[in-house]
Amino acid sequence: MNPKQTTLALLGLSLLFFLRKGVQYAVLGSYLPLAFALLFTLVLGLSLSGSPRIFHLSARIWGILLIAWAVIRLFFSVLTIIIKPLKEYHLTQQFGVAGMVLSIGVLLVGIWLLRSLPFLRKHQSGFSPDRN
Amino acid sequence: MTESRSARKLWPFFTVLLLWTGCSGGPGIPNVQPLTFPATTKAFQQQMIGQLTGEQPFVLANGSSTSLPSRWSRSERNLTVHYLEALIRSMGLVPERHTYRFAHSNPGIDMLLEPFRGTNVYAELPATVVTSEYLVLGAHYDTGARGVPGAIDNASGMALIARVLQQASELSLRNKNLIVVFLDQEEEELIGSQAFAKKLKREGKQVHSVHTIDMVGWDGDNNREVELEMPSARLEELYRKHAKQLGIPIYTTQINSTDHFSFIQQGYEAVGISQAYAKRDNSGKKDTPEDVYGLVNFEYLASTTELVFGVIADILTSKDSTDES
Repeated sequence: MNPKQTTLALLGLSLLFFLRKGVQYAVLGSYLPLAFALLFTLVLGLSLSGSPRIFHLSARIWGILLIAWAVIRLFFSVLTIIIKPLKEYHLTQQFGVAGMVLSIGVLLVGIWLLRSLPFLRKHQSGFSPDRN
Repeated sequence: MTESRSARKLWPFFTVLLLWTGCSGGPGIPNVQPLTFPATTKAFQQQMIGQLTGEQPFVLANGSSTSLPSRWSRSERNLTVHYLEALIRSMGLVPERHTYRFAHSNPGIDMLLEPFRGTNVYAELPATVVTSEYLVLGAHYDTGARGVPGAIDNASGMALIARVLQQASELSLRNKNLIVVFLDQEEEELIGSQAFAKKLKREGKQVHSVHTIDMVGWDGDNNREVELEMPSARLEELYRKHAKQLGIPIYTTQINSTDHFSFIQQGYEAVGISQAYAKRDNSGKKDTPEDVYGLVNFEYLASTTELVFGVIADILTSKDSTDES
């Protein structure tokens, strides 16, 4: 798998992760996570074949948001594990070791996206309609 | 080339990670062997609180002995669910699980976290006549922090409603169905009771009233006093009538930090029952590892049980209904 394919795959997987979360919450009557995930999925999906500039911009924003998401969670994980244990099991579980691994995973995806997008822009070779 | 190779290495890692986070479920716990309880209220509640706080072991279906030192983590709460199901079966009733997921009160937090997940356990004691009306009696079973036995908060409330259920099953006449529910996640924003109140609403259940019990095991001044939280006028009158007959002092508060409030928010007539919490007649050990079996005042618990049973029996046997009120 080349870097471009890897980037697209990680982008897709991260969107799927948040779409799953969105659907899960929509069923419970909370629509913000689904609206958020759908917005980026639509923008990225439509611009993938239509507008490389918008695609790169939205993918960059998505990468930044993934990093922000992960950093906030990691902050609470560090707080929970190292500084002061939380009383609530629900929070302890999600900010515990498993939650920390998830946050680090998402952080790595975000960093990968930000690092690889400029590279892809320079070597647009596959997913841009105006590459010629 | 190097990036391509490292990407290849990353693939399985992320795939497993995302699948893992998308999956749910914990280790399976075997059922609890049938339970038997002594006949008197005090002995019944001593055994139940002992078993719910790690003081006394109980036996699983596979023959191994186990105990419940706390009811905080998912595995501890799962074991509690099995215990409560065995308790309900011991009374000849069928236990039901209400498994729920629940969003956070702030959608921004939904973005960061997975939803609440929990299980309420309930039993329905049918009326002896044909009716669609229900009376609901509840107590939460979770504890507020890691390693907390939760004898007073809230094994005492659970023991109260279990005994009332047993006594109600012996009534020869019941004009209403009785639902007794052991609620999950009271200590986490009243999630279990919010989910259960919404379930009742969704199912269109015709509910006379909801009575929830939280912390009824401490009476430092030995005056048997009981606190009523946010009662409707009708429920306050009923409790006062029975308290007077039993010589139990009673007072009301507007405390809304426990399960009765979830039902009031859904439009149900509800009341919370507690020891004299607002008057600070408390053990001071709430949410600590010292909230142990030895702290429980079983005479006070039996006295409060008698009061609640009197009210519940009164409602169950009377012909008044939510339609007529």
